[in-house]
Amino acid sequence: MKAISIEIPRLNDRPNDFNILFNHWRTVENTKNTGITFRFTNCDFLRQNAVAFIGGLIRLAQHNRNNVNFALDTLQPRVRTNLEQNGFLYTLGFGGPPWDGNSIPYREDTVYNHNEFTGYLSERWLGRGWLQISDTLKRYITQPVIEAYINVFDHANSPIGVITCGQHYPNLRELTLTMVDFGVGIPHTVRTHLNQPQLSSVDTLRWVFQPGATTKNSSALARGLGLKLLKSFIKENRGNLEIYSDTAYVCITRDGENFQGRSIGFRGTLVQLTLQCDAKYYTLPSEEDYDSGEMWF
Amino acid sequence: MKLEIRSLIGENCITLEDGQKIYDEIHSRLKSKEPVELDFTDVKIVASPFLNAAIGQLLRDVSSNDLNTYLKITNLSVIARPVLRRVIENAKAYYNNELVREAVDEVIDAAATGNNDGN
Repeated sequence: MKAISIEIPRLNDRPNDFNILFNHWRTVENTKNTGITFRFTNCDFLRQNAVAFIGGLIRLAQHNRNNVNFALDTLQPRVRTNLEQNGFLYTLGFGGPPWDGNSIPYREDTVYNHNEFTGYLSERWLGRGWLQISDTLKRYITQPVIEAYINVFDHANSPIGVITCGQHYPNLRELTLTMVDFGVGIPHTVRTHLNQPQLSSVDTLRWVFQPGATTKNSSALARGLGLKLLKSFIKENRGNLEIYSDTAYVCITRDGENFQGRSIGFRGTLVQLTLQCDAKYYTLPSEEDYDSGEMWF
Repeated sequence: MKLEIRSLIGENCITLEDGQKIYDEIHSRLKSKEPVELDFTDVKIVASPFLNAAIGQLLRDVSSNDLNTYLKITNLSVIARPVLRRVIENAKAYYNNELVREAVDEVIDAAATGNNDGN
């Protein structure tokens, strides 16, 4: 089979940017035992969602036993600097280690390690002084993101594990984090679990946010709270949660939930969180709300 | 009996497996109406899989009344309390409603029979 070339353009996080990424996923998924070159000739910007996804594409290409070539000479200086700073190039075996900047380091988790991931969130994502917050508030933010991380290893069966990358946008006063896996995706998991193969992708995504919904085959245990807790946190604290999985999409904010079916999708799940960089937007549960003699049950 | 969660599990209580360790320690004691205290001093992060396994599944065969009487939960951080509340609400809905549980279990069994991918 003839070697192929994948040209990465400028990529932001608008719908068409995701369409480009998902089309590249289809190419990589269907290419095995050949050569794939990633080129960046016309790319002058890569948002963190694109960095995480491209990292996933490279690992998927390797997983499919392709000889992967990363055309470093096609990287424009600004993009190259960004990919060096966030550790993307270092992780792929090019150049030196990352340094602190506005990027939250690129990270690959092929095996589950919640303690390391908790440290990453606490120190590299939230611990850089972008958010002037207490340790308690830091843990309050970390907790629901850990739930999303657990979800990947609980449900996804991803050949590349989970890839994470973030960015601080000082002018927007926003902090983002994108997590990508190329597992079976939420729609497949839900359809299989409900034995309803005809259920639309977007309806499966609606289903996972319903009270009591869980797809784990552990009937002795009530489960399935991870994404619901993340959703509650985002709504209560004026954040933004976007999930792409298969052809389903949802954007959740304090103002509502926008579920959409998309024409182009990928097998896997991408979760993107956007947080406000201002402690005033966060509503920490209060000690005063707690009754020391609380009847929990 | 008092269990210090930090020394048994660590500062991050995340996984189902860690939660199961706590459950295995306390379940039979609570069934025999023996007082148990779970002390969360110095525990930093608590996630729902841990709480589902450690505490939520007690509701399968221990009554709410007995749990309120014999299980004391102390020094749980303010950020973990809402998670525990959600876990308990979820477990109550699951274990206390036989019709819901049977329906869910039927679906799970059907899916499990027709699918071996573990998801």
